Amino acid sequence: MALEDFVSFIVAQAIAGLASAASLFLIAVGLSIVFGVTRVVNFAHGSLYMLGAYIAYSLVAVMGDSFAGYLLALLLAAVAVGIIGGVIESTLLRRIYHAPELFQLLATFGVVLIVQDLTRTIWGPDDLFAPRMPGLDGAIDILGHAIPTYDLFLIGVAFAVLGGLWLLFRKTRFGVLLRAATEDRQMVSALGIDQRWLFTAAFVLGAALAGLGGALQMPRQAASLSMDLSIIVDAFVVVVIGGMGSIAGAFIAAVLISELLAFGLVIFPQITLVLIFLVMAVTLVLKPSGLFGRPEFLTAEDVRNPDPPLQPSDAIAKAGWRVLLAWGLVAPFVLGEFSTVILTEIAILALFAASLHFLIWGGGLITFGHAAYFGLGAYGAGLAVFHLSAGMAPALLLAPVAGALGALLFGWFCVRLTGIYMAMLTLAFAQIAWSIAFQWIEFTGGDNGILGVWPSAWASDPTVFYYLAFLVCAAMIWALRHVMFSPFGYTLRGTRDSALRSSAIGVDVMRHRWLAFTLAGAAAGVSGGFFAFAKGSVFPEVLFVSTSVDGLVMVLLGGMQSMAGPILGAIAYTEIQTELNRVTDLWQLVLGVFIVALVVVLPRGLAGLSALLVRRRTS
Amino acid sequence: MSVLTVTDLAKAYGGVRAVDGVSFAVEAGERVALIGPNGAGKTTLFNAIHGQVQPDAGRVMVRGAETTGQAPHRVWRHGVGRTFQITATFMSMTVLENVQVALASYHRSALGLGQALRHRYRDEALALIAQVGLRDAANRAVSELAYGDLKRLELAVALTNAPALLLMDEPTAGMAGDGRGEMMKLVDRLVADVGVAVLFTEHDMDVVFGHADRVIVLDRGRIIASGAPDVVRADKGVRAVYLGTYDDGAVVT
Repeated sequence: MALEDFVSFIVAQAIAGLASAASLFLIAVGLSIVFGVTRVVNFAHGSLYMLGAYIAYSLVAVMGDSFAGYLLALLLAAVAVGIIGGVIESTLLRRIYHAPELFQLLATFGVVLIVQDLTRTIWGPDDLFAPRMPGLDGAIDILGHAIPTYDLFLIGVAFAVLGGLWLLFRKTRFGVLLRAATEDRQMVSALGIDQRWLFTAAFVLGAALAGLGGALQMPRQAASLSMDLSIIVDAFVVVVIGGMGSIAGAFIAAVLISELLAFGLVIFPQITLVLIFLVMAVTLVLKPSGLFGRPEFLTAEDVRNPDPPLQPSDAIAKAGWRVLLAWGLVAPFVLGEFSTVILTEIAILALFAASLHFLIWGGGLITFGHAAYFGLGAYGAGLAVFHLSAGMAPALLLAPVAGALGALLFGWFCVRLTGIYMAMLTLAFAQIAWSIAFQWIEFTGGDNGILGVWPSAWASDPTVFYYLAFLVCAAMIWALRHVMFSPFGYTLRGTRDSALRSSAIGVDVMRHRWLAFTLAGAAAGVSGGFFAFAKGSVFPEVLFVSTSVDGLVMVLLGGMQSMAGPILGAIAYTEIQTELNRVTDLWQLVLGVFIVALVVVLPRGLAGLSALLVRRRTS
Repeated sequence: MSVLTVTDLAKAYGGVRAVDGVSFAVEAGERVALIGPNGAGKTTLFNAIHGQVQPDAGRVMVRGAETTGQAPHRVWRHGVGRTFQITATFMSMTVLENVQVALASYHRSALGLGQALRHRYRDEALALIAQVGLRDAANRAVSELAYGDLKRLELAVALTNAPALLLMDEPTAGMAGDGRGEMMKLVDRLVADVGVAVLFTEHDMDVVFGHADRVIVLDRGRIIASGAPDVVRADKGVRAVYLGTYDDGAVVT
């Protein structure tokens, strides 16, 4: 390639990257502003982006014949999404500002599910293509490459928004208040500002920016129902790299990631995701708070509502465990052969939920990407069968190894962060694992999955397979419970209660958390391996965020502060889902409403319900 | 060999020299009080010795072994126990369990997956709990303890590794008058019984001059005076920068 060809190629790729960065910046900066002011990581931010695209599609169809009409349609879409954001903030978010981070993430994920099904109902399941923008549908020649004029327009919009936000934050009273709220919330309340108004305004601003980002994508790509989660993960990555609450950080990280993708796709198309992963990893190791983020204040450990000390099972609890065990052993006979499929699923999911519970409750490690280790277990088993023609037993033994190795790798980074940052990073890792399973078609079969993962002949009878799954999963759950009472488990509990005290008594807090992560990854891997054989197949969905959320809902539903919680949660959740699937197509909507209700009504979980009832009774 | 030797230790935040070339040593069985006005650098110095803060320059040696810049969990292995100004304990455990977790760490079984913790190191833990006067509260949840008892628990936890040096950040802060005296008597007894060295910061001058063998006065990151309590109390420089704020030493007596 001649030098000038090379230079023009570089320039063309750089411009394409900048154009992609524009929307990513709009999303990420909105997420960052909302987080800065409200301290809530809004999972539904990607849904607002998606709504922006769909609303813009409809408006463009009505008024998009001219440049001005099209532009107006895009702006109106942003305004509409801002209003929707205001409604979401004032009806839902306002109620959960004081809830634990995990509940906030979960509640906003409930909104994701609701918006998903509503969008599907209104606009249909098919991808929607908008016409190109009149006047900007051509291309201009830059150094011999045809550059779409719309890309240049996008870059211009991004810089305009960046400048506008800078002016807003530096020159207006509203902006000063937003900055003040980001830096010191108590000070703002001390100034006598109506915080509710400020929070709503910040959320509307963030939502409108997301809506604008989505609307601006319409001429470039189709509106689809998968836009929401794919963009939110990218936005999480951008915000983690750039630093939470930083506008400049969001801009620079958006450009960095988009350029990496633009050039990576040309140079190493197979490993672009790995590149992003590496950039994120290096950033976090060197600067855990992101490029422009300030270090998280070492907040005093949460001592407001300490859990009661762990109690070994008393006579009643022991009897309860025995009943549960006995029921698991006789259930196939009582409920009939047909029920064994669901019973098998419950046993497998109970172990998955228990491994998640071990991390969250046992170690205070908030993970939103536990599906990674479940999915790696499933893929470990499935790939062993598919590529190595392995039998069921070796494949099932490989499953926890795959889960543990994944947790060992991802966990090394995740334990360097805490709280919401950790949750976002675990999610990002899980989604990267999902993308790899989805894209690496030669190895994983991509979207077509791996088929033919059937149990060995001796376990091919559903009842036999159920007993195998039940006994192994029950043993694993018992082992996890045992670990919680062991020195390792208590030390982990200690790191949750006070990392400061833990390190002052010789505990290497990060290493301890890392080991716990790996242990939970191995346990989740076991359940994933059984899941693969129970279904006879493995699809990328096992790694998807919805799988992580399934686990979280089970844990919260069952009650966080109880060892039996994950099991009861798995039973209840599987039953609810099975029944819902039978009666409605809109199960995501129902599930979303259910999750939101769970969080809003019971912000301390079902365990909080019992506390509430006790208080009522005694007062 | 000194229990603790600090040589030319320095730490700056931006342009502020929080600790600016500090050198001193603490001997076995010695109680050394580190005093100085707010912002003098006491906490930074403490954290630099304990490894929470990386010093910019200088050295920290514990019993002849270099610990400069090592993380707290490594410094602890050299025999350094720590209590905090605002108590740091495991709130979702009992008093006994708090001490058992620390003992598991000391006996290098924090990674143990076998026998339940509550059956381990029980007698050893109870002995330490009795030593700080919490025997009757051994099985109570830490979240139910009064603040003074939390301070005692921290002391018991800090003793689990049979320390050569106790770093006590404001051991009597937040305690009522009687409690302060009892706490310091407890410390005095430990020093007399097991020969542990104690380096402590303290705002209460009665405690400082009643219980320290030696006093080090810090101002703007530097040591401005050091010596026996009476000598330091009489030091004009100390009166000027520090005790002067106490109405010319009226509170000191």
